[in-house]
Amino acid sequence: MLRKRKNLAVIAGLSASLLALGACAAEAEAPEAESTEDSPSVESTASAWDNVLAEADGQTVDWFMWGGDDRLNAYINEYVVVEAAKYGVTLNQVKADASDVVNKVLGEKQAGNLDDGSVDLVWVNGENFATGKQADLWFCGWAQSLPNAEFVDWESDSIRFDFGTPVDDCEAPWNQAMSVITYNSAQASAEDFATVDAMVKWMSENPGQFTYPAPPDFTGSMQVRRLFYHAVGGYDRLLGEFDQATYDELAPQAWEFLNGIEANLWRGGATYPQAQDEVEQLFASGEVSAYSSYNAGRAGLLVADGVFPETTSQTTFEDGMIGNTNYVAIPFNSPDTAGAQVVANILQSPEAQLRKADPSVLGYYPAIDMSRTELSAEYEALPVPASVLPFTQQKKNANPELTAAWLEAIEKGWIANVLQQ
Amino acid sequence: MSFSSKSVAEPAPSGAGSALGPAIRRSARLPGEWPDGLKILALLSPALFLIVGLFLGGFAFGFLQSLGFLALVGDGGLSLDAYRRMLEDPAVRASLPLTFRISVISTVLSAILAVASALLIRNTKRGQKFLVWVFQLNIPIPHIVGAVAMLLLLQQSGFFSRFAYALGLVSSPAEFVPLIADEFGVGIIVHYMWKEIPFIGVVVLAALQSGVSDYEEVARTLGASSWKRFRYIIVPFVAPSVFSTSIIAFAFTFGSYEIPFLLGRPFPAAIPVVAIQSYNDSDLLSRPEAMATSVLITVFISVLVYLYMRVSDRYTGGVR
Repeated sequence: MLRKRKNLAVIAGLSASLLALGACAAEAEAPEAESTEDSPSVESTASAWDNVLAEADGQTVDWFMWGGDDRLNAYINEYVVVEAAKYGVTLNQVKADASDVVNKVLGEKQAGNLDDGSVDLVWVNGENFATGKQADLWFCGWAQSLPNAEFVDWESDSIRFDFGTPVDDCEAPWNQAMSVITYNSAQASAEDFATVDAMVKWMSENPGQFTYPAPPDFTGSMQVRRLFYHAVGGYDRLLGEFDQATYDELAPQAWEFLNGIEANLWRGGATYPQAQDEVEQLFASGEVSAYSSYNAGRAGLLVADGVFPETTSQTTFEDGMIGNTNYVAIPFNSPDTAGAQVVANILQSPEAQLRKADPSVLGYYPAIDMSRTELSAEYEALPVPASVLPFTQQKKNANPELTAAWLEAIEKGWIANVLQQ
Repeated sequence: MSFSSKSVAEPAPSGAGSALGPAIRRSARLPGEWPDGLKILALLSPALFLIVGLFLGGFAFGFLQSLGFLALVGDGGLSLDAYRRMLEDPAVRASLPLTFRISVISTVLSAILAVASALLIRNTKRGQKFLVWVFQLNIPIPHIVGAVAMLLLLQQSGFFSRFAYALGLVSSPAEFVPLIADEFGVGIIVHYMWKEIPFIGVVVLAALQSGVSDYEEVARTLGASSWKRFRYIIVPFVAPSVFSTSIIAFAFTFGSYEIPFLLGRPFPAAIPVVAIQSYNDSDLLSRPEAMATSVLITVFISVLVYLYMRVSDRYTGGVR
């Protein structure tokens, strides 16, 4: 009796899903039939997207991402999750470092798990993206086909290249980041950081008041690169593919410069913080009075939370700071690629990008060109906290990032020639 | 796994046997019952699967990867290159004296203080129960929580530094002596002692409860001095437990990652931190070196534990 009832339930379930499939197929076919008249490429993209939407309905997307920012987690779980649910996609945030996630997918590939991976979406860029590309870990050929990709400036080199690595349609841009110098205006002024030389002079007058986390920490690595650019007389020769001869010629000047300022760093440069969070804690507790960061908006939030002093202020070097774009990517063995694309498309929507850019929500800068959207005016009207430098000023004279091979060489060189000396 | 489920299902027919009492069971095996040896093996198989399968299996896989097996990049040939690179790596070289120093000092000091506190608590008449409770209090607290507490207390802008500032002893955080991420590893050693003193001490206390006072009483009536009672009664009684818990403590501190990461420096770092640093290196060529470092840690701990157990066998065996 019990068994019979079970069978009935299975049959009912099967026929329901068949019906659903049929409905989806019908929906998917409809636009294609109309498309014969006007531009076929646009319409076929639309129908392909309908297929993605149909497939995504009912999928659960495990999105692995850095989870160290409570407000970001709230944005994901209170907004993106809700938006995804409207498409029948269950979004599940998994907090992890991108390098660990790449290792996880790599381990799955080693173990022969080719179509049922545990990761559906990763927040990634730079070296971790390059590592995944080196090992063929990414699902490609989707990012530029997202409906909201029309708002993305895919012509721009800062979008097409992820730290010098061609994106090749394997990841979709989510945020842009610019680095800034955050300082306590009770102890320093913007003029002290007008140039690298001015900062070096300020450090010698205020020893122990500045530090950066040891590379390979993301922010520390950026700080070392920016000072590297300065020490070798500009980044022009560092762009493009890694060149050992150029590196060997230029790097010693950079190590000499970095070892030269070491004595005036926090703890006399005998050691470095291991992560950016530690640097922020040092600033909050007054142990240092200036640091550089890749996330300007965060300082504004920390001031609002009372963690940072009211006198927190920001500036950039006159010859610019380093900027980059970060992305979401889909592993090759994700069983839910359609759901992951739906989430990526939501992340790129003007509404999601505007909300994310709002300093009272997050203050992460848009990866899409807001002027192409209907929300351009709303974006321009967003308030900027007094402690945070407006994005247009941050972007002034922006310095590029380098390819992963350059990054690795500089990080390893710093460890061997600065940290271990 | 099917083997282990069988072993759980099997005892049903022998249930009657056990109800009749152990004497009958031992004398005659009931029909259909497994031989004792096989039964023990079957009952142990889940535990053996975990130990052999997960530890030795994982170790073997890591060892193979350290030789370049299953490498995602490179020529795919097996070699000892990763070991050569590891031994030349300044991060590994600098980590060995640091890791050894942290483990030896924290284990030895913990063992001494644990025995001393256990003896003091044992000799306390009033409030002994309360003392034992306080003594054991931090055993269930996770290491991470303890490490964060150490940070809040010991760092240059921490509680003690602020206290010193309030007393006028220092005028800025930088003047307070660095105890976290310091050159010697003070913060790491203090943290391990915080955790290990009660861990070793509780086992020593238990050993001291097991009838040692009767022997002491006899020795006292025969005129043994307090030093002789300590040397010939207390020491043999507590030595085995001190040795075995110290081995565990030493192996833990030598192979633990999170504490030296949180309370230590990026360089020189404890060797497990170095292993993770190279495991997380974005260059996949570093992967075999990370595995080689992990193999080194495992082999080193295994050798030390083996030597230590031999020494403790001889020592405790000689007194008995």
